[in-house]
Formats: sequence, C-alpha cells, structure tokens
Amino acid sequence: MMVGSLMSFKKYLYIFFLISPLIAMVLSLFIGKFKIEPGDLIQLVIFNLMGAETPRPSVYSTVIFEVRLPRILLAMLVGASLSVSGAAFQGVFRNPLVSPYTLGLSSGAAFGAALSLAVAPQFPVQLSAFFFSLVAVGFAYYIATSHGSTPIVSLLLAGVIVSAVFDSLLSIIQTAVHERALQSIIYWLMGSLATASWSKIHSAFPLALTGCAVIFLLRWRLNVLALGDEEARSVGMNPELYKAVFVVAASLAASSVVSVAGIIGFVGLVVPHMIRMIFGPDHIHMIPLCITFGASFMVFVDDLARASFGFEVPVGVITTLTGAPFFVYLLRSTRSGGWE
Amino acid sequence: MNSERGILIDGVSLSYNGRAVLNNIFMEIEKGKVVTLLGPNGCGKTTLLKIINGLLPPTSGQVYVDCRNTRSMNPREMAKLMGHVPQAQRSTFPFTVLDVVLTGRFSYISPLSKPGHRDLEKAYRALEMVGALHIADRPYNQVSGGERQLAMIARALAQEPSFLLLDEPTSYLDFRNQIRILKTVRRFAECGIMTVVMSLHDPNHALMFSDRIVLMRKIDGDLSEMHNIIAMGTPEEVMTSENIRAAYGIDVEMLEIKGRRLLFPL
Repeated sequence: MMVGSLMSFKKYLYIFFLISPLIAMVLSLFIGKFKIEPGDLIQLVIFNLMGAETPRPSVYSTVIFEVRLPRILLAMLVGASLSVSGAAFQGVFRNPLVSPYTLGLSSGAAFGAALSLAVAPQFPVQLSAFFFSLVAVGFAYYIATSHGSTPIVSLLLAGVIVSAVFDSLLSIIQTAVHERALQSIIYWLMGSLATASWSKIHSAFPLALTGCAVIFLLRWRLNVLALGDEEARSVGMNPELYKAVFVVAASLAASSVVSVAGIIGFVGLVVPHMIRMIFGPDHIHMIPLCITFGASFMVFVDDLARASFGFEVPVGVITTLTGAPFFVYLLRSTRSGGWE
Repeated sequence: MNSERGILIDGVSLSYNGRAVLNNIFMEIEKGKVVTLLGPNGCGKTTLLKIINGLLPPTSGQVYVDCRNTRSMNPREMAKLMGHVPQAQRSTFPFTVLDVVLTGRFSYISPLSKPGHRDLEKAYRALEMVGALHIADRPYNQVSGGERQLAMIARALAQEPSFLLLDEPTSYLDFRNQIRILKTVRRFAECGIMTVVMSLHDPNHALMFSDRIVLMRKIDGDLSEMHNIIAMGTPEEVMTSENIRAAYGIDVEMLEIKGRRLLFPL
C-alpha cells in the first residue's frame, strides 16, 4: 500500500513537472516593479486576440508583451536547452559530473563574446560567441578521435585542454582592453536574461529547437549508449555515430542559447540530476521532464534574479544559490544521489 | 563443413601493436552445441569471441556464420544473429534491470522509435528464461554480481539470437551462481534454441558443461609457426594431462568419479 501511494504521488509529480512551464509563465507575468493585476492581463489578452484597441495605457501592453513575455520565453528556452543538453552529455559520457560546458563550449563562447566586445565590434557578439563555442567543441572532438573512434576519457581530457586554451586567450583579451570593455565582458560572462527581446528569441529558437528535438526523438538510444560502447555495439548500435549525433545536437542547443544569454552555469548540470534522482535514469521520461522542468526552473530563478533585490542580480548567481540547496537536499535524501 | 549452419572460423589472425595474439585459427562450431574456449590468461579467448561477434576486426582471415561472411553483415543483422555477453559490467546510472534488458531490442526498433509492447514482452520473457523476473524493477547497479550476469544474459536473449557468446560468464560469481548460470546456458543448447560459445577459466566447469572444448595457449608473439589451439574436440579427447600441461604448464591428475571425469591439480 505504501508503494502504491508512493507511485501515484510520483505520477502526480510527473504531471506537475510536465505542465510546470505553463504555471511558471503565467505567474511570472505578474512579477516585477510595474504592478499588473490578473484582470489587466486577461483584458489585454482578450482585446489583443480580437485585434481591438485596449482602453489601458500602452505601457501595460509594452511591459507584458515587450518586456516580460520575451524575457520569460527566453528563460524557458535557455533552461530547457541547457537541461536537455546536459542530460544528453551526461548520458553520452556515462558520467553524472559533466555538463554542456565540459567540451569547452562555454570557454569558446566567452572568448568569442570577448573578441567581439573588445576587439572586433564589426562581428555581432551573439554570432561570435556561437561560432567559437562550436569551434571549441569541434576541436575537442577532433583531438579525441583517432582511428574512427572517440573514447570517452580522451573526450573529457580534450575538453579540459580546449577549455584551458580558450580561457587563456580570453585572459589575454581581458588584460589588454579598457575598463569599459572589460566590464561588459565580465557582465556577459555572468550570464543574464535582462536584455531579452523577441529578436533574441527568434535567433536562438530554430537551432535550440532542432538540437532539443533530435535528442528528444532519439532519447531511448541514450539508454543503450549509456551502458558502454562495446555493450552498445553488441546489440547492433554504432556507438560512434550516436555519440557524434548527440554531441552535435546537445552542443547546438546549448550554443544557441549561450550566445544570447551568456554563460549561465549549473542548470545543465543540476536539472538532469534532479530529474534523475526523482524519476530515475530512463531517458524516455528524463528528456521530456528535463525540457519542461528546465524551462520552469529557469523562469523561477530569473524571477528571483529580477525581483528579490532592489537591483537586478545576474541570473547565473541565483541559479547556483537556489539550485545548490535543492541539489544538496536531493543528494542526501536519495540513495547515493541516484547514481554510484 | 558438414552442416550448412554454424560458425566457421577460417584462418583468423590478430596482432596487436605488432604482437601476435591469435595465429591462423581454424575452427568449426556446430549448430546446437555448447563449445567452451579454455586456456590461460592472455591466450586470446576474449579476443576470439569479439572477432566472432564482429566487435573486433581480425588482422586477417574470415568468420562465416550460417555460411555468411561476418564482414558483409551490418551491426543490426549481426545483433539479431548473435548475442554477446561481456564480462559483468557496472552501469553509472541506476537503470532498472528491465531497462538494461530492453536495450537488447535495439536492432528491432526503428531509429526514431522506442521499445513497444512487443519488446517489453520479449524482455520479460528473456528475464523469465534466466530466472531473473523478480529483479526486473531493481536498479542494475544495486543487484548482486550473479544477478547482473543474469541480466546481461537476458539482454542477449532479448536479441533473439541463434548464437550466444559468453565471455567468462562465471567470473566474480559464487559457487551457486556459477553452476546456476552454466546450467541455464546449457539448457538453451539442449532445447535446441541456440548454439553457445563461451570462455571459461575452470577446467572442471568446461568438463561438466561442454559438448566441445577448444583448449588454447598463449602464443609468443615472435614465433609465427606457433598455434593457439592445442586441441579441440569432445571433453574426453581434449582434457588429458598432456594437453593441460601444454596449456597451463602445470601437472594434473584425472579422476573418474561416478562416471564423471574430474581434473585435479598436483
């Protein structure tokens, strides 16, 4: 009987996690300095749908549709993409300690952003960050591959090397530039959703969606891959092919959101963990839950970042400060944290 | 080959970093038999099993399974024909035993799909066949070594293969589990479900559970005229004191007890 009630509790929790982004989105529309009542929102939405002019001052519409909604949607996109990407990386590496940034993606992006901000402003920050993040991952994968196979340990080490190289290049830029440029680099590195806009969503969405969709559609194969290369090969899988597919898809998803939101850490590591600890490691359930819970977690964290203090705190800081206690709780309350 | 079906290993050699591990192996494995590869550490048992399964390409030579060259088979075809049980592995993530067994269905599941009802049925049936149905929902990395081995065998059975290759299925297992696993695979061959090829460390296990034994030795990488196989045939033919000495370099005595032969180190 205990087991039965526990299972039904998990079922409700499962459903709650799946619909959590909707709840987070609607509630977050009301959070912020400018006060908006539920009635205002309903009226605005109805009038907008009918294509009619609202009797409210246009500032309502601006705050909701040009400030808060894009920010919330971007947070959801970032959270979902980083979480799914992290889950895929952890599965491919068979290692719960890796994140989307393990192969040097964040270091490459940071270097790319700094290059654009300080040295070559003719290249947009977003494009430069995206380009160099993928260069870093591609480079790590290339270093680790020999004779047509890419051992996981080589890949981890290659990631360390590539990260270190791009970090050093970043340091050169940081020491060489003026204070103003340095400030904007550092702010970019911390990651922020404050500059969210529809155009950022439009530019990140296609590739983030593509990456997430590929991982979602192939998610059962992560179970096969996670058991080991030889184990995968003996049931008929080509592990090298799927490794490459998952790394490319996960990197595309992560790069496209990092390029618009900066380096937001912890989400890609911690959300897959939380889901695995609560619902188990089967990727058939894990991937969809990472998408939805990653989205709502990021929205929630961003709400805290923009509303809990008198000033805007970088969201990456809040991500860590809120994620860590939750993570510690799960780690201590589940047996070996869901992995050994 | 007398019969059309079975495994034919035709002049297989493998060198690793310039050192010969397997030298010019010829071997026939008849359908429906239990064939045991026996020999000291490093004699190439594991390597040979991997070559048969196509996990490792040989330096030269061919392997034919049911008259088809394994080089011409894609991994999915191979997986439907042959199940390979590696030495018991641990998993990083606490997948349930059922999830692990389900991965055996890989070659039957189309790329964008996931296991369906039929696959689930086959996985449960495979677990039933090895007597491990009761651990289906337990985390694979929290069950005992013996149960983990059973789960890996069930995973191979879920592939519905005609050939089952097992790499030292009894290592790390206690006495009871060793016998249990050997009896289980023996039964598959006796029922005519599949042909079993396995490597073992214990000569007495080989004596008890095999139809054919292939006794192997470690070859010195420089001597190209040296061969891995000392003898192959029925257990009675192969397991003589002279052959055992040639393989392991130790002296043994043969005992006959209750109509069964037993090997006893001196």
